[in-house]
Amino acid sequence: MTKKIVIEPVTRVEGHGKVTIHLNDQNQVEESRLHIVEFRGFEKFIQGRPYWEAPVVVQRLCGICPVSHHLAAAKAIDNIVGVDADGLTPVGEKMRRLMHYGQVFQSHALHFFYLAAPDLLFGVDADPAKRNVIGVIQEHKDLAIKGISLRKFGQEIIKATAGKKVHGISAVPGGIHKNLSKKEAKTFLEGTQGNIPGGNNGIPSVDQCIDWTEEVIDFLKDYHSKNKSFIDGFSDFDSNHLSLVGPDGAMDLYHGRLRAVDSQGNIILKDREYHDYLEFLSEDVKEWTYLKFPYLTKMGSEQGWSRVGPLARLNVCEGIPTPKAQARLDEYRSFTGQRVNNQSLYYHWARLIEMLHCAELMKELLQDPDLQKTDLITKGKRRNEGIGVIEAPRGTLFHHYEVSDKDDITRCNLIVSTTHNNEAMNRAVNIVAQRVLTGQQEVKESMLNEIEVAIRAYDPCLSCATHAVGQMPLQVSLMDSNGKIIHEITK
Amino acid sequence: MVKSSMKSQSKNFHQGKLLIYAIGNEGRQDDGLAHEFVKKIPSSEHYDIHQNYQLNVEDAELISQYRQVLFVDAAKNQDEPYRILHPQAKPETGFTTHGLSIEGIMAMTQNLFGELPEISLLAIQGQEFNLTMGLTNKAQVNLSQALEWFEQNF
Repeated sequence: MTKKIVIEPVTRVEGHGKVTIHLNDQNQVEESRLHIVEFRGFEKFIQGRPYWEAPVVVQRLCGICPVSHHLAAAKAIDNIVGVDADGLTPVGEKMRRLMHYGQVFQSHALHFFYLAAPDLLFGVDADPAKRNVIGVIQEHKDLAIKGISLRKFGQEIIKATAGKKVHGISAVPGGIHKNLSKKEAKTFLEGTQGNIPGGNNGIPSVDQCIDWTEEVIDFLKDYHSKNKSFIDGFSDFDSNHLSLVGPDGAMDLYHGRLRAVDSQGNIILKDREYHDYLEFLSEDVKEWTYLKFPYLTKMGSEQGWSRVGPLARLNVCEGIPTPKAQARLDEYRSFTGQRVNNQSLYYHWARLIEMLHCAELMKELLQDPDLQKTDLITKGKRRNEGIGVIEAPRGTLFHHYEVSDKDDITRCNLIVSTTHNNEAMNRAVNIVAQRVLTGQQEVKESMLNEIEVAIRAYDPCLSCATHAVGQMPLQVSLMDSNGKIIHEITK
Repeated sequence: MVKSSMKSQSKNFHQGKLLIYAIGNEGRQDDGLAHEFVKKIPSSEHYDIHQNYQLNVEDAELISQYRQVLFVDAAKNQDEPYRILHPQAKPETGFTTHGLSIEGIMAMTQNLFGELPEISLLAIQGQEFNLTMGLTNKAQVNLSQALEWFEQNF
């Protein structure tokens, strides 16, 4: 008689997910799955809309990472109006880059301080009443305030570049709607007075953001040193890794060519133009989830899937083109002793290195006089197809639109970042479930939290794959094969 | 009943201003009541307006900057067209940080910054919350009454 354990919803991730774990009579894990339970359908909804609406409308996919969709869609729609990524005016590209780095910065800050930190600070088996952002605020006040400040900085950058913190509007076909004034730039370079260290309405300076990010990296490095065996053995499995890279293979979160490496670092996809993605990328579907499974076509669905996001980007890139982040990358690679890291919990460290990289890039751009220029938009010869790819906080994001001569969208394909990590998250869940549940007579909450920790490391945006409707109580049920509830925990 | 009390001269608190914080999703019918409310009140030097889909952790820092905060939100299960409530700080969190309660934000503000403004909630009764734009007729009636209350008190 098999038993089924259900975790729904998964906590401290963006969006709604469910985990099911099937145990046999010997309490061994037979199978475990991460389900994305909500139907998405955005690729259908957008059909029939005028193409210029896409960068604004498509953001409604998600209230967590809308800027990524805004910019990926904008890059695709640029193609429709005859503009390639390197054809934007300097102010157009640099405003979009600043917006993107602000988004990645604040998203990574949110994930580390609000979602991941409770496990790191209190332990994965700590009392759940304490193991959350409230607990962090109560017992690590200074860290909580810095987390809020860092996220606020990124959000204010988004507001200054996109027009709004959520569902911005400024990326338009062929360019940008506004530039950045010198006064705005100065606000971010110098910070403003406030209730929190450094502020009047509480915006830290960009230098403060750099310093605080380095402090947090030091904290996490220390945590890794003290918990190395736990971290290294938590969820380690071989995979390919995929991301955009810039010239010479350097990290570039905004634009580049697609590169993939295998688990040993061998290049298996070398710097391909992303407009050709259909030649080398396919998507598989399974009956138990609405999320698709992308893979490199030549390797097949079983071997061709890749991880994306911070861990993958550090694995794929040759280096990081800002000095402090590069130094931290060297330190990270020296610590692990590996050129390519396949251990899930190292996502957190990689994420912080990217935060630092974004802070350095924002500082450079805020001092760049190109941002005050006024040639905001350019155009070329109209086309009927556009593809935009960007490295969103969670990984490689594809937007692909086909447009009729009457300007309406006739086809849309989106490969959202978290979709790439679907297979990886399922494997991580399975590995952890095998370790913590097999042979156990009793299912404890801490065991289930370890499974959530595995998912949480990937910082999935399940919102991008869901339309959440209403409230979902957290209920963990242990059922027999007839569906009879044997044991139940409700939050 | 919240009274306008803009007398604070503390230079650390936005010169005694009130913060009016509208919460809700305009894409879900009457969940957009709060946003319609702030669109209809006159602009004033005595208050700042902030709008969002839902409360986030960083709102603890935002409200710490004010002496008075009036949250505005749609209600689902009350008999009155609108109610003025006075929530109390309570440390709590749900399964996501993107659905925090006013009480939870108040507790965060108290923990992080010590200062806690005077908090009120204007809860305006909504009727339907489906995926579409625009208020129902009943919600518009309730909104009008809430606006009258605001006009009399601010």
